[in-house]
Amino acid sequence: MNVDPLVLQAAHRGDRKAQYALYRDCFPVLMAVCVRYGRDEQDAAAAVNNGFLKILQNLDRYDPAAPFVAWIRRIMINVVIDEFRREKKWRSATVFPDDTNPEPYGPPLDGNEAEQRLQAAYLENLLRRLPPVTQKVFNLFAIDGFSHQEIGKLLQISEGTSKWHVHEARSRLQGWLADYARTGE
Amino acid sequence: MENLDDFIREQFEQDDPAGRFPFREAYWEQALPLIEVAGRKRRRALWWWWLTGLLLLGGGWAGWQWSKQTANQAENRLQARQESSFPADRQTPDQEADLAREETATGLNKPEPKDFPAMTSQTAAQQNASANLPHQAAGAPSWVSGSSFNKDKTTDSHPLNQPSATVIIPAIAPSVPAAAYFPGKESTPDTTHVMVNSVTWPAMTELPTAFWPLTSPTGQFAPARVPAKHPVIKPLRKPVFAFGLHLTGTAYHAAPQGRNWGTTLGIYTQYWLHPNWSLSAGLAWRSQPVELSVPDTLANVQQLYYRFGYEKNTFRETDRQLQFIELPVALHRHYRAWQMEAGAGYGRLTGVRTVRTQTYTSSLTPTPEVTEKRILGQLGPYRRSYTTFFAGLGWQPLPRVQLTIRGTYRPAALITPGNETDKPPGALWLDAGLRWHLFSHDRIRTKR
Repeated sequence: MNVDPLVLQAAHRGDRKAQYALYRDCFPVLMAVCVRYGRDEQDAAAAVNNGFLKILQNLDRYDPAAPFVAWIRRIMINVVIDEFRREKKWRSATVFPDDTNPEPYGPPLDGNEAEQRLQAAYLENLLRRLPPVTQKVFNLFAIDGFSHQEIGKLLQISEGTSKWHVHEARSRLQGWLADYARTGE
Repeated sequence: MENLDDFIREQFEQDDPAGRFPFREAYWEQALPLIEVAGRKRRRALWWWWLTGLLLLGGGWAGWQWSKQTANQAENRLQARQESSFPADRQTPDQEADLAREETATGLNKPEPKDFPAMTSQTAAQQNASANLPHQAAGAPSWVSGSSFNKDKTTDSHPLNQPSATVIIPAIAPSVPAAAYFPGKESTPDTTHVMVNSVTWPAMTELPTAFWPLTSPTGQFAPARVPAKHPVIKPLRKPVFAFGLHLTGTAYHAAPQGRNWGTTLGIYTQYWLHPNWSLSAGLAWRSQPVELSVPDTLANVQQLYYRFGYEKNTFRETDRQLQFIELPVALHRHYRAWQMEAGAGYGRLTGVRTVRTQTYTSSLTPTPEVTEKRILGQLGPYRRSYTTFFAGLGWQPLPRVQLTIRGTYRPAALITPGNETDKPPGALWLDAGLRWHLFSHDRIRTKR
């Protein structure tokens, strides 16, 4: 994704056309991040808008030496994690029946999805079946390259807990992928 | 295991999200209001910065002008006293200091020259001139304002009460004709001369105020006393240290609809560095309305499916009130019953009052049942500490009660990044309430 620096400047000044062009370019990248972090499409669109607002407000801090996609992805991850922390606040006051049962957290794969190749969309579905914290930690560690220390700070958990979540995610994903390879579902 | 991570990462890196998440205009239409609101907030915040800056500058300039004027008045008064021909007013610096010590010891005020309106340097000079008039040498009475008045002269035995006495009614101004009254006789007013004991003298151009009661139109002389309007001499009591309670109602400029109000309750101490300057510090509890909800997600819903139906509980938590402890420190400038104050404060978030709304529906009760419960929320989305700057006015109608109004600005946003809301807690507010001095240690101060 290549973004014209003039468009960035105009968007930062408040030019609506430039903002629209920037939003159109950024939307798929931001949406992919949100969906990977466990949002359904409607929630993800709302989160994308929040993330885009943050991008607009911080355009003056963008260093052109760094890839623009990496920068907006990082901002989007921060937004998603912040929203997750707010939800976590609520969850800590409410007891859920089973945090280890993956079923409540993602829709089960139907036959059509099982027929898909191992593509990003299918992996996204698998990731969304993970418990929320495990899913966030695995996304941050395995895909986005955060260290356990950084994850601990972001999610307000210990490094050990972060490692445990990564281990748990790997075990589950491996099992599901093995099932897929064996049965095609 | 590492291979699994690499495999998944590669899958996502090779992915083209544009194919899976095509752009739709509807999303942009949802984003547009957010962008516009953010722009407005930014402009508004800028405007408030300017306004606060202007107010502070204006207040500072006004205070400076006022202090300058007060200093000039004090200097003029001192100069007038030193230049006065009236001996009691002429004081050397050493005498001034002695007098101040004496007054402090006795707790009494010395009446100032302004309490005798006629005692300006000009009138004093005229009085000196009148004191040298020949009629004084001839034994005629000479009363001048501000001089020590012998009250015995007001008795019936005084020569002026004798029928043969002539009273001087000098010309004061063109509108007031000069006249000489001869008790018991008809007389024609002479606007240029007056007569005393059969001697005519040029009329005085100005009459000290103390003479006014003598101008009796009846012609009957009634010796007047020194004007009754005399300053009441009493000591001024000024506190040195005070301790008390303050209670204010607070109006926030930006707050959830219909809930702009909060309260502040606290204690304070105040120490007078100078009769007109004091420092105060306090500890206060403040409440501020807020409206922040956790977004609705699947995680907020508990749904149970049975073979014959379902039960669904939806929870929503909304933070309604923030509670802070504040430590304000202020500098006060006092003027009579009024005071101006300005200072800074440190605030610490101590609690969040949250309302949890539970909506229950089931296949048997399709109409939602909504229940609300007040709980203690978590501090997560909010800044834990902040700094404020304030300026205000106070008026003390009673010795122990002071009414105050104070405007406060908090530069930092209260909600941490990533938790933005359409209704952020206000950064500007106005406190109006009262202070109650529970205890104060006073000292007697004489007015200088």
